[in-house]
Amino acid sequence: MKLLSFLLFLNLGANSALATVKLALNWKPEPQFGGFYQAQIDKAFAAQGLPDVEILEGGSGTPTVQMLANDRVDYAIVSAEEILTNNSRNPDHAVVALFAVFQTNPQVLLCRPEVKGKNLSEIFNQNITISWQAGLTYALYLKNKFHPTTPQFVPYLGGLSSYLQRDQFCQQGFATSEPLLAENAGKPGHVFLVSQEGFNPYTTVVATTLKNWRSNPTEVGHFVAAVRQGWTAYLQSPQNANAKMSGLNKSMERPLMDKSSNVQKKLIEAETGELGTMNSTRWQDLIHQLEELKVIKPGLKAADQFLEQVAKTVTK
Amino acid sequence: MRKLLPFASPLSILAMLIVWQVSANLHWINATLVPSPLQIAQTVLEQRAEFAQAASETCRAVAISFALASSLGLILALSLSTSEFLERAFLPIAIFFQTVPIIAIAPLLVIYFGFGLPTVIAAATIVGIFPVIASALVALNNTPPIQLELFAFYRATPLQILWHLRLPAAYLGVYSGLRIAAGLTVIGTVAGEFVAGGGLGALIDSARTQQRIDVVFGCLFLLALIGLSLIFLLTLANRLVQKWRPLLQAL
Amino acid sequence: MADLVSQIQNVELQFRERLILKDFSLVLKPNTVHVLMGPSGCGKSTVLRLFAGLLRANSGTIQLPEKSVSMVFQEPRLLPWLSVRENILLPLKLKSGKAGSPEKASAPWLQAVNLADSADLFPHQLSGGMKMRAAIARAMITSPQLLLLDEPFAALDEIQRANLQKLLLEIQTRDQLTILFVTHSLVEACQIADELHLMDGKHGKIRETLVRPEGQINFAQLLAAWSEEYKQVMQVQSAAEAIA
Repeated sequence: MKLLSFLLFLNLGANSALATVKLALNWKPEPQFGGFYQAQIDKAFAAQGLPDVEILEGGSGTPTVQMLANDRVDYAIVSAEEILTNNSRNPDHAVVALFAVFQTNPQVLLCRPEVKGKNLSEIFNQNITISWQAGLTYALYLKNKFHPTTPQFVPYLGGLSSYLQRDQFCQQGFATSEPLLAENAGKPGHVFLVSQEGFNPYTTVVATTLKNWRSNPTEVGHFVAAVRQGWTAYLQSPQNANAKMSGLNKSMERPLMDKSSNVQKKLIEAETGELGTMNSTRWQDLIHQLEELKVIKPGLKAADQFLEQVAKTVTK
Repeated sequence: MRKLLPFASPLSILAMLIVWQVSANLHWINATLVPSPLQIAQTVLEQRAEFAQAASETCRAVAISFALASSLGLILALSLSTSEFLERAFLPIAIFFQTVPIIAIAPLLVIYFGFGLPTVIAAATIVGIFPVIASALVALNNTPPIQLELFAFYRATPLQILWHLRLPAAYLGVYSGLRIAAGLTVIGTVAGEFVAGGGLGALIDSARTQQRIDVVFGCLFLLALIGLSLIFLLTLANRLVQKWRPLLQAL
Repeated sequence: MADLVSQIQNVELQFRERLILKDFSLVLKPNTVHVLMGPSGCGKSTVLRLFAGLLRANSGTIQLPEKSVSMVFQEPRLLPWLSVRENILLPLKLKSGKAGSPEKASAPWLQAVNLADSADLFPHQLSGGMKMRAAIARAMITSPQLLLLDEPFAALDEIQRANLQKLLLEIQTRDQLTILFVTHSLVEACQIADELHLMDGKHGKIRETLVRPEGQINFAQLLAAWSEEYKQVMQVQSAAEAIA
């Protein structure tokens, strides 16, 4: 009886006013999330008067935007195109972008050095194998841009095993991860940034539901401020957060993590404005691209996808 | 009630679809997580070319894999039934392949067979072959002793006993194994397509990435249809066999 | 050896460390219906299987007939996927790989057992009596010299049993067959036996052989006489037990 009461209390406790705020990541802890862990380490969330923030690790296929839209978490890391896809198909559960970590889309195609081609246009004309998740928006974009394409497109199974075994091979990747892993494995390759082909959505975007923003605008503002604080600190000095993430993610060793956090800096820092800020033009470009690819139905407005007000620093 | 028997299956499916649609209309279920039947139908219609292409690729893979699993399974079962030593030696291998989930093995198959149809067929055949072996082996090893004694009395050769007695007597077991293998082959095909590409498996994978749950459900319905069609063909084949020879009667 | 078709001499047979038969002997005369009776487990079916060549004795001699032996088991043992005609032809098919002209080979026997109209039916479409008739026809198709029967009519009703006993005797008379018939029923033995062999409960020795008197005899008198003998030999308590 006593044990039962205790367990009930714990459960109730989880749903009480002392409840944690949940932030869902869409991958394992890696430097692309460094600023969030830094904010935790620096107690930036507490300093903004927020309750404890629980960072939920993700993995392959973690449906963060669906988790967010269905109120399983308070905040989530999604991509800009996921926000648009959700808002187009699920307008009653709209989500909004608050903070974009990557100003430059870090998605890349990593190709073996044996593959001939100076740019993606030439690559897509080769008799090679390209391994990627066929449903990724940039995959659709590139196939459409370089149609008709020559390579054999195969599913991406994670990791680098196929890349390391085959020479006429390219695969999807993140600028901060796979190219460095390939170098580590002794098979450095050619790296082609997708953004250079004109597809440059904001990536690693902190989002929340429109409903949450309308109900708790102050809390949302403070959350974003804490996140910005964390990222600012992380970019200056990533060691502590890297140490923490290295402990959480055994698949990325510490030296690699440090290298990764260095490489990503130039993709994160904004030319103008503060860290994480967004603008209508880029959202509008993305909307046009997705409409053209028939990924979304026409009608979405750029201004409804992100909160300009929150993009400014909120001071306590 | 007996008059309604032929309609039991279609009626229950219809009832389920109606309840589902009504629940969706009344917002009792979340449309983003579980789209309504009408929504799914609309999506399939809109993207019918893509669905048709994917479904035909999966059908082809299922057909080839089922044929392979059935024939190889029967040959293996026959071979193992001739020797208890062989049967026992093979057992641990069979248990290993039956219990290790195909999703875990499939990426390894890509290394051996490459991307595309060969891996899909390999995955589906591995999943489909074991129920055929298991059922056929049990059936072959359980020929009624009284019939075996009859054939011993006639001094029948082992080949005569196999052809005239053990094989026909094993029909029920073999048929049951094939029915189980039918559904499993579809599952194995999709698992193979997840890693090797092509067919409804690849379409599901792509749709998941794009949060297109309606496309996923469309694929699931088509997969169910493929599985049901295969079982229907088996049932039809069995009916024809029974008309020719009553192989399912008790010995 | 014109006086016998087959015989077993001083046979001992052990099965799974149990002594079934010890010093067992039995001579089967030509054109004779031999009936074997005894308590359950005394080895009657074992004796049949020795004559059938399905079992080997540990010691002693078995002399089998020059021509073929056939057997009808307790169950019809028809193959469900073969028609009546095909079941009847099975022994010929296994012997030679083919049944010759199936129609020619099977027709007389289908006629003899009154199954000509059911030749193309399958076993599940037959009654118990029809199945047993098919089994008899199957046994007879190889023109055996010796026919072994192991309680073949035990599962049938009175009328079917009577019809099949009549059929068996007709065939026996026509083909001058030697029959070895195992039964639990003294009534049945009285109806068909030329010689009734009573087996011991212990190791199956034949305690007594009762011979049917020559000429016409009254069934009830024969039954009464043999019941009395049976009671004494088998040491059962009452005539009812003997008749059962």
